[in-house]
Amino acid sequence: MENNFKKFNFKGKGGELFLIYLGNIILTILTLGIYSFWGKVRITKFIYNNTECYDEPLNYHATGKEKFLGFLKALAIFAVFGGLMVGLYMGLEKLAGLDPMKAQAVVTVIAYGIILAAIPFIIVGSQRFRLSRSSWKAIRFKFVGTPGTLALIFLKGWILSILTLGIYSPWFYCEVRSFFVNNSQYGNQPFVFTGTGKMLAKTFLVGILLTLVTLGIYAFWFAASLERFTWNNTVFQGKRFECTLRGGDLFGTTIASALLIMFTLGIGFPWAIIMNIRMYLDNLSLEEGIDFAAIKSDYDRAASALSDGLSEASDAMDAVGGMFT
Amino acid sequence: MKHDTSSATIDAEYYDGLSPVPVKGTLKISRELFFFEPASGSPAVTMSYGEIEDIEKILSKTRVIIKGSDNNCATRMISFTGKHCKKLIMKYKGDTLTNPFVKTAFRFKHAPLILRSMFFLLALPAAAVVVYGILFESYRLVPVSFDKKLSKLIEGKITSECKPYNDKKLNSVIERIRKRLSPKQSIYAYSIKVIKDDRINAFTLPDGKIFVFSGLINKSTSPEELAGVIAHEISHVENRHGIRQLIRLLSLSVFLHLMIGAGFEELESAELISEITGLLIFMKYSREFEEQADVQGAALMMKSRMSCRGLMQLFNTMKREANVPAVAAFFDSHPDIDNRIKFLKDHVSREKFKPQPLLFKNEHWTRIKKIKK
Repeated sequence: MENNFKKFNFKGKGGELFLIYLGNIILTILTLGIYSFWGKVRITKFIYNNTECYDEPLNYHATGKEKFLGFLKALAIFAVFGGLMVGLYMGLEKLAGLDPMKAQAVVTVIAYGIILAAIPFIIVGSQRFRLSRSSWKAIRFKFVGTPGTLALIFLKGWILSILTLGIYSPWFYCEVRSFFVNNSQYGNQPFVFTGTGKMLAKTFLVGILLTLVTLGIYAFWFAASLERFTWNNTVFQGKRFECTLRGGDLFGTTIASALLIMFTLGIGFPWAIIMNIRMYLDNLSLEEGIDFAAIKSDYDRAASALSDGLSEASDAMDAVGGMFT
Repeated sequence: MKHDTSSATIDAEYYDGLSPVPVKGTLKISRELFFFEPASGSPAVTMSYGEIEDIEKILSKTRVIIKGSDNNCATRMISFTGKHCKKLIMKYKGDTLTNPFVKTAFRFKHAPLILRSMFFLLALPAAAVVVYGILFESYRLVPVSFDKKLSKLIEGKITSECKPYNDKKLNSVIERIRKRLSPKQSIYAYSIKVIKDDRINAFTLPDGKIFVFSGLINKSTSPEELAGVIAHEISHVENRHGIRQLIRLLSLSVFLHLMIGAGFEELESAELISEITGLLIFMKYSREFEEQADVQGAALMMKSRMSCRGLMQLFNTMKREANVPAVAAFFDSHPDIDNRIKFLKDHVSREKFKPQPLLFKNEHWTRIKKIKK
């Protein structure tokens, strides 16, 4: 028997978000940037609290303080890393007598290697932090994936994608999706991803070809079908999610929010955000019949804000560096 | 009997943080503690205001987030509807806060909308002043020695990538230009070097090292044209345009990153829009510096008894040679060349002195400027 689906709801208003945003801007400026960590938490809280599933809102528990401390630790790590690399360069050049160009090349390779190796740790750590600070009905979410698994998926994905001239892509996409979905829990109960590359192969082929033919416009429809595929193959306690997002929704909302931001000289920004969130959540529902009594808390006490800080810090550096290139 | 307003009772739901299934019952609020009594008759849960992590109001419901009771329970939650109880719980929570900073932040966060809006209106000008100060005045806090250190760093790169050009006669004319144009009380030691490159251009390091491309010398019809360019570059240095530019670029990108990054990672187009805005603002101020350098360079030329006629001539040459598409011109950091020529024409018409030539009687610029292969 087919069960009923319960829609997700978003109740937030642009005006409220605008006020929070305005406050964030002013306080961020007056504190020379430090408040931005608290500001981010406020906005995430606003979005979570206004998102309802089964008529119950989500909660976000991260604090500006822990995010700020994570960021400071990340900066310290970057400084030590930079210092070590400079030390290595000097050592190679002065002590080992290596040609400066060669020494630079060696240090560059080592530095990139370390950064590349750190990426899966940062992604997994950030996800752990985010989920451990998210709750619904006072039960926390949890992420149990490991960086090693993620690194292997990417390594395998890149190699096979190259060898098969891209034919592996839909399988690669599913491997990544299932890593994130299968390793997520609500309390002690896991989410399950049932999608396979075979199911997605046609969508991928059509998506890429039509995107090329339509000079990119089909990309919206392609993205929508990927979104539908991901949600429609996500299961919790045997209950399915259902996503009805269409390419037209994505296309229309993207154009509308871009126009809104442009014509209001940025003031319409919060309304554009709400428009986008609404579009996703109005199209999402979850099958009824979750057995709540079976769910028990499984709090990830070890999740830390360090990875979050690392990704914030590298984002900031990327933004600053981006202006120079 | 007098009605007691210091305590209250209300129907509520209690989430123990161990199971998502709430327990129905009654919430009792008093000044020191609050209690939840399950309707089933199970023992009551007693909580103190210090355990409250957050109070959120979502639509009509108030949610009180409370610290977890054991290792596996992160947070508990009580949910109820009712204004009076919310006010009371808020007041008692506020009273338990001892850190004045935290207390103010808590009170402000839950203050009425009108009060918060008023604060923002007052804070807006203060924020504007801070932004203005950082973007436009903070360079004053950077010591000149930093300009010099930075220049050393860039100089290393230039000397490793550019080919210098040396010619005795040309150098002697350039030395004359340097001596005549260097401001008397300047804290910078100017030096002028020629780089072998066919482009018509020149640039300066913040510590006063000027580099002129041989292409510019080649195209010039008199040494005064070269002098005009150098006067322009000297004005950049004297006004510390280099470091000011750097500070603007850095702070603008940090600023925009913070604005967009405030929890809106979902909207990628926003990042793009902010980057373009940043670039446009940046370009506009670059032009402002160029205009200032044009004006002060012309004044410096006059002070050194040289005419700007030459520079005007050079701009005309550049205009003829450059075939810049309109779009590229929009993004160009230099002011519109027609405006620059117009400005110089104006300036030249006001030159009421007898220029002192840079060349001796027996010297010929066409011979001196000739760049050997």
